[in-house]
Amino acid sequence: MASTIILNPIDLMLISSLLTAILLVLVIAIFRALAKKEGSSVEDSSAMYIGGEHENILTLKYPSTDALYWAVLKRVFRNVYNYLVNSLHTGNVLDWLKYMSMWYGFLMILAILIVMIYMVMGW
Amino acid sequence: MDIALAIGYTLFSLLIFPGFITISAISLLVEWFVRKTVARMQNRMGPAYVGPIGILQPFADFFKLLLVKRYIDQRYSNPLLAVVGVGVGIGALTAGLLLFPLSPIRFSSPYDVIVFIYLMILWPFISLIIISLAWPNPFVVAGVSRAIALAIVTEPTLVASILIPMTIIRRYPDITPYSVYYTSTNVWRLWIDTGFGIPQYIATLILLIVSLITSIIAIQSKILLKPFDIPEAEQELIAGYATEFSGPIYAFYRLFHDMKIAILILAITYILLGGPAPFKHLSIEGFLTLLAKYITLAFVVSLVRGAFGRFRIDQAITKIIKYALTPSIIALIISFVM
Repeated sequence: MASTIILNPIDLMLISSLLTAILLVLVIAIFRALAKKEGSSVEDSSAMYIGGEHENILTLKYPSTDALYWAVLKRVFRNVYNYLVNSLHTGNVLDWLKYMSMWYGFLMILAILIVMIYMVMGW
Repeated sequence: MDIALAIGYTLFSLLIFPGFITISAISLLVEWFVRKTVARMQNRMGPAYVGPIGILQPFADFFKLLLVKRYIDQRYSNPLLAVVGVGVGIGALTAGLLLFPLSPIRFSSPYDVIVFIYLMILWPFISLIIISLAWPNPFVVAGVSRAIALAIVTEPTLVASILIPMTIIRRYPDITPYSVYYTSTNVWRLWIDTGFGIPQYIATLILLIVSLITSIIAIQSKILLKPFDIPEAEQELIAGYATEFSGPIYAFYRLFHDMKIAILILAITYILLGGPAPFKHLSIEGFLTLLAKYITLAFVVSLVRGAFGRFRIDQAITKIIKYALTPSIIALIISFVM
């Protein structure tokens, strides 16, 4: 017998979080019940695997938040940044002026449009 | 419905069908299917020894890793945190199944696509970060930073391509807006309904096909299959963020990875292709149609994996932006205007 329960989105979000938590507890319980560990004390535990190198070559043992942040920033936004910088810094001050006035004009048009929409549609 | 009965059905759906046990089995079967088809494309045997034509090999791998192998602790590691990360991912993906018509008890609400995004996209992504921080290693850091960079373009693509059929389907006033369940049960009408005029029908078909293609590219990138597997490029990064995993933790990590493949393909089968439509679930034709659609999508994913070489990270990001993100956003805007 299949049935569909209609809820509001917030209740659904809470219920699905609860269901996620139930499964999380289940996975942890399976791990606790079945997992066997190699070695018992801290001294027995093995060193980090770094392609055969000793871990002394590392400056950081933990990943820094900077590394994660810069990975995104460098790889995704670098092209956008380069494009903006190249279109601004041509060596000609008039290019810079043109670019800035273009943006300013765009923002002005946007502002006027929004004001007009508000005036027509009401707040 | 009686509240005790509802709780019982919910737990049954969550834990047995289509929940944890069934979806784990399906995920391992999908892993076998992808491995076997890619192996045949590359003139290899693929899994061959355990079970008929090697079909039980992923099960054997999973249970051996879980029950026999030991995990190796490491000085800076936190194994429990890694298990929490994987468990959150598995839990969120499995709970997401209760939004689909496949489940005996279905949860639905207007705009429940937000819950879909929360369970299928947000939590697996956060769990990836938890997993990587639990077991630090230079390869792990490099792998996860690449995975995050890919996710920045992949996740919006997936969201946009799933929103396209939900946006077009607003033209039927009787359907709850942006609901996974109602879109899944009614999307077949979009594929065949010429009642709004032929130009409108052709435009709808084009939008749906764009959505299908971009969602397959997004899945390929989200589950790190071939052209987009630079975050775990084994010649360079050993195994990315799974480098230090061993024993039961690796078993759960692999299960999580297989679940992502199985559940995302299932989501596309339902949201874009309508599941068993035009038949009912509980009929032979319906079951066979659902199976055929599912296997076709899994085959396409394996075909792409077998046909491509690996992209560099910058190539991968540029290709996704060019061939998936931009078309899906343009299609989404058109479907809003239509």
